Amino acid sequence: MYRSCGSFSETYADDMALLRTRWQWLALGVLLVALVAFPLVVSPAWIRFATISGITIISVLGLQILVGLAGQVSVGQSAFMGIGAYFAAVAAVKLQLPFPLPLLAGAFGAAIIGILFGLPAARIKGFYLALTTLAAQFVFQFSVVRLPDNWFGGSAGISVARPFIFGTQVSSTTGFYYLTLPIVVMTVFATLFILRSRVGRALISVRDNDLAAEVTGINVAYYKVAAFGIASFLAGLAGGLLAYENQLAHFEQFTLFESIWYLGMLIVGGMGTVLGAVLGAVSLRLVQELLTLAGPWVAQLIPGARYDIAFPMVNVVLGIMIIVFLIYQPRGLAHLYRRSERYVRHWPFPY
Amino acid sequence: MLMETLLRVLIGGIANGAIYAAVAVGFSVIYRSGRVFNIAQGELLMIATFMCMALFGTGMNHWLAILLTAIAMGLLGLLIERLMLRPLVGQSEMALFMATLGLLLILNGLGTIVFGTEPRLFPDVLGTERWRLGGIAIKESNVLGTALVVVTVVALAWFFRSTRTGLFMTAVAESHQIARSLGVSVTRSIGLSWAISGVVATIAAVAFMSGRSVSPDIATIAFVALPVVLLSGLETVGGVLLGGLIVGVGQSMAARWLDPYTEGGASLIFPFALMMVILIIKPQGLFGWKRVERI
Amino acid sequence: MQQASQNTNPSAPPPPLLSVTNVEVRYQGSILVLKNVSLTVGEGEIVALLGSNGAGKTTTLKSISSLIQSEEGEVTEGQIFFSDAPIHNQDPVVTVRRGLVQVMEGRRVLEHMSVEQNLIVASAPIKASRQQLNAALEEVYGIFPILSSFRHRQSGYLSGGQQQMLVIGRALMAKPRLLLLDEPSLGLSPIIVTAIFESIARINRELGTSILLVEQNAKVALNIAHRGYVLENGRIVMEGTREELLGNEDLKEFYLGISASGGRRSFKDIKQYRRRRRWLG
Repeated sequence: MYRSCGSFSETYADDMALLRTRWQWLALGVLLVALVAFPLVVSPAWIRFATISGITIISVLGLQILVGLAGQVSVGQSAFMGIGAYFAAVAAVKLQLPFPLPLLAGAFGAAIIGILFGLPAARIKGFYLALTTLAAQFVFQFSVVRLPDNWFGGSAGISVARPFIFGTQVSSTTGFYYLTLPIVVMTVFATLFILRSRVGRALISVRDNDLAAEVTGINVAYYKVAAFGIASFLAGLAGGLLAYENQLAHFEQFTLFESIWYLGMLIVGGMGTVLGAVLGAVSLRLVQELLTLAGPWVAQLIPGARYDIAFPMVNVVLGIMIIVFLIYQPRGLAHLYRRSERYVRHWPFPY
Repeated sequence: MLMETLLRVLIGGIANGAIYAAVAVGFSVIYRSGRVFNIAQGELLMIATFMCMALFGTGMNHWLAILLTAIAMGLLGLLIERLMLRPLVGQSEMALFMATLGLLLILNGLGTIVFGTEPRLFPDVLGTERWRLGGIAIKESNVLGTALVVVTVVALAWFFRSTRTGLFMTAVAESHQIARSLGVSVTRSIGLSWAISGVVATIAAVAFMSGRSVSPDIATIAFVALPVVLLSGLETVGGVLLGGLIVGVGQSMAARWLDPYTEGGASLIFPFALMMVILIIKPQGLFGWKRVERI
Repeated sequence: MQQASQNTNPSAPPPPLLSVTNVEVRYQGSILVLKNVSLTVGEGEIVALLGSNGAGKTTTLKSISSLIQSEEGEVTEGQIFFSDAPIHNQDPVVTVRRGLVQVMEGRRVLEHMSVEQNLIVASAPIKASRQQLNAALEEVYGIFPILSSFRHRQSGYLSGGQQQMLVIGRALMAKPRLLLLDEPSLGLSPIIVTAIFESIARINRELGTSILLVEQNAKVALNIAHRGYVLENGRIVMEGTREELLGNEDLKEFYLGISASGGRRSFKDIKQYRRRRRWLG
């Protein structure tokens, strides 16, 4: 962790703390207050945007552990979100479980299936493994529709009512924002802890050199599969939230394109850090939102464009961003942020 | 009766397998040159298809239109290599893979913006006749399409094994460093492989799309072709014919005997289930190169 | 410096085909591997570059052939000239076309290709017609007859010695004027090593190819070399003709395993030797 000189730890507990200086506590406090106050000052459309971004952050954090930490590329994150959404919907609608339980059902359900698809990781790696996640993506899309209608609702999906908390239904956009916020914050801190734990270090060693990790006594297969489990757990959690937010669990929300976007968020945000996942998720969702708003306006400029142009536009822009970041800034926005932070701190000196 | 069904399943499977083989050969040509797994291969096929149709629309001779498309696709391949891959030289295989995911988004988006989402009919460039073989109707376009693919793949396999340029590219596939030490230009080989892949995408488009209704969704066919290239092995070129045959016939059998019970799901899921099995049992495929890793 | 002038052959040496002058090499812009290395290889000469593990022998060869680039290395100081043209930090492909081919350490055959395919690939730098290609193949088969009988076998399945012959023969396909050989004796049995070094001498004699040979096995190398250099910690510490080097007490002691005084010299002498060399280098 980067600190300016003069700020050092005096005890082991100090050294292990996530937040070390008074300024960091203050910054966190300001950020939390800003997040809580956010819905009071913006329109419902932007509150919904914030909720969706928060849900995306959860899923991308999961992907960060799998890709950024363990180095296993996944192009099936949205399929695992979909699995989470369906499990949560079934738990909420069919089993009538009270609110937080369906989310957990979705998360654990997705984790189990994620581990199942992650099992080949014991034998293969690299993009061969990415292909198994691709298979997961298609198997999900193709099978959900064709399973009996009374299981997962067939092509109609499952409608989910907004959750009840202490007997009152959280139906407003703002209410759901406040419901999502603590879950997002909790996930962020949980991921921070995983990154700094034994598991996190083991995963990093697997990423950097799996053979070397294996001979130093790390059970590579176990940790790879565990990374799949954690990633799909968070994907499932996010998927469940999304089902509540949209009041629908439907396979068309969880396409391969979404999966690639999540990976793109990691590339743009930066691999290996929580900050990267958060920055990537928020910035790409913002780009997507702005392009969707600009869509009709752009459609007028292109003669003969009668259809929805926003979606392909998002694809083109995101694709370009992925490639540009890979070429010019492989460490992502998080690295840019750190550099500018350092620049501001040292100004007017170069270093 | 059973014989007839079996024959029909077999013939349908071969026709499907041929198109998978045509897409798969595009994967392997690119992979072997630069260790790039081009996940956007299906998008190249889609662009080739629509470019062809746009040229047909001008009233031009069909074969001339196809030739022009092949040239344009070859140039597109070179352009991709120049703009996207050359700046990424020296990056990990993973980074290159992710770059092709970005390429997939770009090409898919551009294809949708330019050509629209509505399905359109691709003209019957390969003929419309139906031939009868022992009581089974066979479409002329299927036979010619399959033959076109087989000829293309065999020609490519011969190219990589017997011509000097092909051998240079195979050397690049083995090791960039050895190739460089022998005076073989690695960047030129990679560029050439992307150009070949673009041309192959055009051939696949002609062989498969003739007389079908097409939309940008056809890019998905590339994912169904993935098990083919995994089954045959990423470095082989000729092997895709066998891989295509196995996957095509297997899928066709799943469609005939399992689909009635699974609402058409079995034939869709079959390739991906097969892919999982291959990845677990023999990731390097039937004819691929097994690489021993050292620390 | 004094050492160098003493050891220079008084009878005028042939005009240098390769001259490396005061070269400094860094990896990733910071790790200094070669310091002020100078050496020459004359037309038709076999020059041995001796030294222990990590001395910088391979780096020297790779900086000459520019293959160092793929390992993020760079010549940061000094110059390398090959037949009067600068070749440092160039595209390795261009260097090969000029007639300078390196045979990398470790028998790097293209293991999924046949022997003959390996050889054909190596003809990349020359624009050969079918006949010329066949003539070149026959020339290589003439030097290594065993390759001829295995020409359609997959090269990954050859024995170590045969693979070494293949990579040397492969380098000849480009019709090089200078061949850089990196440890051709590595991991091979003494009989095979003798055979390979005989072939190297023959290549030099019959084809007139100049050779810069990197070896740990100083005895075998000096057997066929005309001149030699000793590299230590990235510096040239000694140079001389074959006879001078074979007669040098230090070299006998540390590289040839022959002790002048019968028993092993004491540790003190070793230290002295090292210290002296560093100051001189």
